[in-house]
Amino acid sequence: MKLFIDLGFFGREGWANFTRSRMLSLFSILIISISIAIITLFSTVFFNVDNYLKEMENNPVYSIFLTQDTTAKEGRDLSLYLETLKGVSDVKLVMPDEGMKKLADRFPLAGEIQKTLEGNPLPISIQLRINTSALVAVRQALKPYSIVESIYSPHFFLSQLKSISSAVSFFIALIAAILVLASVFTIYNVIRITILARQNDIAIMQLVGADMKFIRAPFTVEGTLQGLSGGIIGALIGSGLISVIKAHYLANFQYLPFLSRITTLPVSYFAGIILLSIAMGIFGSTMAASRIDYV
Amino acid sequence: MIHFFHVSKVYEKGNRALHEVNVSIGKGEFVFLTGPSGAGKTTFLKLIFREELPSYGRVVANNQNTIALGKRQIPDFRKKIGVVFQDFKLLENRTVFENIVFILNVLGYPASFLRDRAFYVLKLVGLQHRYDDYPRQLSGGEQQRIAIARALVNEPLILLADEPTGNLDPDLSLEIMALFEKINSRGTTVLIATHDRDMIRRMRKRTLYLDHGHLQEHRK
Repeated sequence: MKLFIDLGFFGREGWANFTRSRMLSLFSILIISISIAIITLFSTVFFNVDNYLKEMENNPVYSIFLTQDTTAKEGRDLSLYLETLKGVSDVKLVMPDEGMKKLADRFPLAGEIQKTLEGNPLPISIQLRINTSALVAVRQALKPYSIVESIYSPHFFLSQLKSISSAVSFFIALIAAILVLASVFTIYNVIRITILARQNDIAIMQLVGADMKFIRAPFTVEGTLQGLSGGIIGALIGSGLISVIKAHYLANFQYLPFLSRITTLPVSYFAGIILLSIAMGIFGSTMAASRIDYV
Repeated sequence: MIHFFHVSKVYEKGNRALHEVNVSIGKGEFVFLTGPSGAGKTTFLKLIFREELPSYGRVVANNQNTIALGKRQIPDFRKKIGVVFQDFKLLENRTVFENIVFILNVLGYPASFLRDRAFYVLKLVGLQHRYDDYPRQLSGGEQQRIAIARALVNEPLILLADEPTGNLDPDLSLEIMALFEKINSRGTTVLIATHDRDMIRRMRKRTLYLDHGHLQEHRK
């Protein structure tokens, strides 16, 4: 019962402090919002890249390039054969013109190369997904086919992408850590200023016998409210920015097509980000409040 | 209840506020502390509720040596002592009601009790109708009465008052003194620092005289 009475008191006092020092609270919320918006942006990119890599890893797309003199019928026959193999799916025959069109879509320079060469140098190819466990069997099954020039495996590309991704993740984590520290530092300083502004009140409270928890806890509540408000506003700004960037810049981004399919973060991620901002508020304000000494 | 053993208090720059003070105030006593300005009255009171520590000697209040008190024990120690400060020390951004209720909140009284108790003490000092005003909206005398109400609200074992009638007219001063006597009759030890010699004469209580930090005693 006493705990609930105390918590009620801390909540009321914290809210009163929060509304009383409006300008300082707004400043703190602004800094936290900016930090959380940037963290949300980075987290969204990281989340989507990570998902894309997982999808590619679990279900890689292979390309089988056929020799230049392979006819369309031979290509079709091989496609039909591949469809019958275990662990193979999404088999698609790509004729040279279609292949060049795709290449030109992604890399406009490829169209110019074609003009220079006065012809399409691309062979017929087959795109397909191969389950990792069936890869050796598929390679064995293709050995007798002399029309198979080469098999392109995405693993090299994937490992390159993964190493880039982990470097970027480290960079993102570093920036996020700096932003978190900056926010905690801001909350700490704002609460310190608030404490200094209320030094007289704090002294009176101590002289009439208030326990330190009754003096410190409302400041922690105040910091928590700043963290919560900044977290919600920042997450909303961050996801709004993602929508705007997606609509205006990523929709036609051809080099990395998955970026045009970028999705906003799931609710659990948002909950995590807001919990992080609350934790920043609690940590910064508790540190500041712990410096209040006994009179 | 309150004991001073060879207590001296020397502030910075060698300013001596109290010198070799030895005195005991028993439980349930009503005592006046008087003397000229700068005699050390406020320091005497501050030593009791441990706003100050003695430079020499020791002060024991409510069976606790103030020097030996740990920082964390100070709030509990002060909760048993009601203080009417000379400068009132009211919380400026809280209403009269909130100033009173704050004490009950920190003592963990249930919400149902707060309102009744706060209005009870406000009625005792005749200011129940000003419950929603802020201290700055009150006169000096009214602020003083609120400070008295706050000191009484948790029925402390010791009540210290520093010039509690300094801003009150004679009639109201008598009323407040009657209130202190009433509190005292319930067993609370009351120590009042005052300049008001007429009041001291009228009340006929034990009186301690401080002069330049030296204590003399006059029994009623």
